[in-house]
Amino acid sequence: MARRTAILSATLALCAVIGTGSSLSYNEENLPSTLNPLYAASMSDFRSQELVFDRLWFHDAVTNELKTRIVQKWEVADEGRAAKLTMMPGIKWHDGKTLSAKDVCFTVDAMLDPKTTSPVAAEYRQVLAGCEAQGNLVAKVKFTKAVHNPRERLGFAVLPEAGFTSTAISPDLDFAAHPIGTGPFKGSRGRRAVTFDVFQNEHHKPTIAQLRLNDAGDPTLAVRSIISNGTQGIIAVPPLLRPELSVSDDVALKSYDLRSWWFIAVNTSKGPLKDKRVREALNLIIDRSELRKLAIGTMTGDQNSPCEFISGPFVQSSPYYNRAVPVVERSDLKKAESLLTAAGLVKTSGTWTSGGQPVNLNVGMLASLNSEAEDLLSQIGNQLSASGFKRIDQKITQDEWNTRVKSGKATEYDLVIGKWSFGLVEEVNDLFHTRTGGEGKMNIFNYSNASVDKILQEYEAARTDTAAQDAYHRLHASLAQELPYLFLWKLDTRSAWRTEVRGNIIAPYYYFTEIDSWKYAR
Amino acid sequence: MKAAYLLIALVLAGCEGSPEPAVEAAPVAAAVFPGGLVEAAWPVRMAVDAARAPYEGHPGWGQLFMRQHPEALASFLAEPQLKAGAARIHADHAALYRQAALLAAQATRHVYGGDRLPEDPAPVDYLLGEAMAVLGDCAGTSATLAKATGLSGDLSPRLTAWTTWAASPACPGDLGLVHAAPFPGLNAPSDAMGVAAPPPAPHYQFPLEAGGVNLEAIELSTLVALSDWHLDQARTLVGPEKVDQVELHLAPWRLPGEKAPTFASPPVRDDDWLFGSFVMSPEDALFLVDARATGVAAIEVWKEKSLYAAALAPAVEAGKLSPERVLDQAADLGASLKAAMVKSAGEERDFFRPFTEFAVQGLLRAGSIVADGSGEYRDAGILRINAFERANGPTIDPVFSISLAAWDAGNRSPLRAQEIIHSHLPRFPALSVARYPLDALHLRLGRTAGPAIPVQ
Repeated sequence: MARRTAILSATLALCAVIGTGSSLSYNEENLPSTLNPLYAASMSDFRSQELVFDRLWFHDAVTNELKTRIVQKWEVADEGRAAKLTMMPGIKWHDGKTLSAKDVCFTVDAMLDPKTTSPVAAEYRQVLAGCEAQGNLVAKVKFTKAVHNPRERLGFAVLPEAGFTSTAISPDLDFAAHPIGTGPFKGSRGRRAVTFDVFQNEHHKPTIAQLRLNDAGDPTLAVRSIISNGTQGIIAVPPLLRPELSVSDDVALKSYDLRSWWFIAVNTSKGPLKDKRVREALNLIIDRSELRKLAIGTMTGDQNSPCEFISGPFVQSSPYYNRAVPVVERSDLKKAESLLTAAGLVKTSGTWTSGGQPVNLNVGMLASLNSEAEDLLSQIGNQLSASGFKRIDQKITQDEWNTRVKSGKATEYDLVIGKWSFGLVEEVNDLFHTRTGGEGKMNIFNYSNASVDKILQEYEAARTDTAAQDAYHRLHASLAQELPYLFLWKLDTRSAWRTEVRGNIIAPYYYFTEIDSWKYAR
Repeated sequence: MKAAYLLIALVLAGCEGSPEPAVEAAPVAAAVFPGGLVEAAWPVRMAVDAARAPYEGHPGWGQLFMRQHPEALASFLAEPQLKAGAARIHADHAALYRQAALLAAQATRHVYGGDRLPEDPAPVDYLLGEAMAVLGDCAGTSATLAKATGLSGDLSPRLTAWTTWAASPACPGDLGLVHAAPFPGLNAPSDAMGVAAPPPAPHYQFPLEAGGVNLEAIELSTLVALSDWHLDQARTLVGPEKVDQVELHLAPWRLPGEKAPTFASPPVRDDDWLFGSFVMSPEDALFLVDARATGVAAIEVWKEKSLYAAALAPAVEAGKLSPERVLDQAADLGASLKAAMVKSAGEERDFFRPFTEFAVQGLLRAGSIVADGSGEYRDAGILRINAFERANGPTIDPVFSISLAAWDAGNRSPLRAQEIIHSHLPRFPALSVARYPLDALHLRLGRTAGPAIPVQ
């Protein structure tokens, strides 16, 4: 036995090339739109930035322990209204400069600068009040109120003061493509790919020399590529293609803990869609079971299905999900027809008309969703057409999504298909609150409803967890009535990696948090 | 028709729909394990049609293999001669609800312990004290219960009972108290399958000063009582001569304060308790009992008798288990079993793959128990997560899944735990009881976490 082990070890040592020098290529859902952490808008952005930057504190991907790689020690100050951090000495930025307390304070100041138009910064403004550098390594971060768990609030990525000319950070700086971080890899974003080159540091000793991020492209080709070792990883494997990978001895499917739910946002300010009965009719026209079968490949009754219908803006396992609100699984065309007729629409030669004109629905879908749910846009369009609506289908680029859809400017669309992803925090206020005074920052069609706003404010003001949960249960019930969104499903995310990639623990949400322990044995 | 049932299930599991994931690294040649251990493993013995025949002959065994517990129990209970199958299902329920109790206790420990907020109502000290009792912390139970104030008439006698218990020799481990009045106990066996059900949750509603809503909570002891009810059913079904099999089956899933079972003589091999299980032999199960207490040291004691101990032995480096080496050994073990099955059956069959996978995942699970026993908490977690990720089809074991959820709850990590509970609820509705403290943990952590925004 011992001899066998010795022979095996020697063989492994001779044959395997583990460590610096290896290069990994993987397919993302889409290319990151930015490598600037302040402007992260997609999960691809967050995952990529995790390779380039250090967050002050993070959670261990295995034990969930709160850890830091860049803070040497910390203490509560000002009776909980501040935290005094002593930074680890000797940590280098990718440009060779040394990390200091000034960088931490610069990051805080940048987030507090109202000219920094970042949604991430806007959220931190509610928590952070300022920062004071005390010497080279000590930063005192101040909070807007006393907090009992300051480290949990300090999960932001640290930016280099020397990388910017001002604390007013805009999204279009070169930093977004060629960032400077203290993370394990130095990132550079090109038009078709992003490369991450290893950067050895005091606190990071990754063994992989380079990572190359490719756009998802055709998912079938991506699967063939990983099987033939053309690439080594796929971040999100569509459910339809998972069986093909799971029979391969060379590829392992890995869980990725992320809460994602899919929806069709409805332009409630446009034409017949202003009428709630029309939205309700659309909700009954969409046959979710059929869509799931065609686009996701799972059927009703499948055990351990990766796809589960939802009736509101949370996944079913969430404590915020209101289980009293039923899902609409199958279409009910008869009821839909009667609702449309009651709303004043007339069906002429099989086509719904309003004021004598055919009702045209301009349907958009975030293009990258196609790699997880093939032809979903066409399938939804087909269901709408079959029920008597004229429709135009359009795919929306990530850039258009970020600049126009999320900001409420894409009002030429009637319906937009998208998905939202969450970690532990499942707040949806920005999706449904009226756009006013900094609220409703991601309200796609500028939906506005006073009673919904009131519920969202009650959530915001809730003093207890139970009151917050109660508010969101009421929100769920209200949205299922009002239908600014037609809620579709939650979809589990599974990654695939070549089995030569070892130690590849995938962190919930941020994914690459433990990249230092990944190895690639060719 | 019946005879074909299991075979169909096995073939389905082996080659259609949702096949098992790949072994981490394909070994060049099958590894060699000490004399006869591979050949004695149930997947190898049952590679032969005649050995499998008794299990292919009844739908209950097929349902058990596919982890369809309620269906299997109904099938077994319909035929009194299949008491062993019914006992195994009850023993699984006992294990599952013990792990659910552990999950609820861990979540409660965090929410009303370290993550407690001033607005939490005073009676939560009762919940916290009870959680500490389930976690085997007698001093913590006493200290916490001493602070419990503002309890309603229902809770006062329970507080007294737990307080007395925490100071008695019954603490830790002997949770028989949960069956005594005035604890709520269980409803009479209520459904067609004779499975006991706890009282509908929530069991308590505590008024909150702010918000005008009540805090909903559960009586944690109902999960322990439910587990014990199933344990009693299992013991009764097998009778005194085979009760050791029940104890051995439950051993890895006992609560932290409970004592390990001891046996007058080692339990003999009984395929009714091995078929479709994650241990290959009774020696593997006995090794795990030892490993839970002594960690890596148990490997040396058992490596000539237990296939798992033999397979883990080369993975010990500098006195601790290397998770990477365990993954390699699991691959080797899978290949060895498969080679032995081919040799035994004379040809390769579709069901060899899922059979092998029980051993591969079983070894990873065994590795996590050894690492835990040696205090290597994170390494144990890595192995636990790897085992969970490999599970597919018949190897999605509800008991192990809930144990991972309990481990997550202990780490203040509610998301995966919620998904696990949610996915197993249709077959184990009483798991809804464990949802309350887990949801409370999520709400608490989510509302006190750093800022986050929805993203695509």
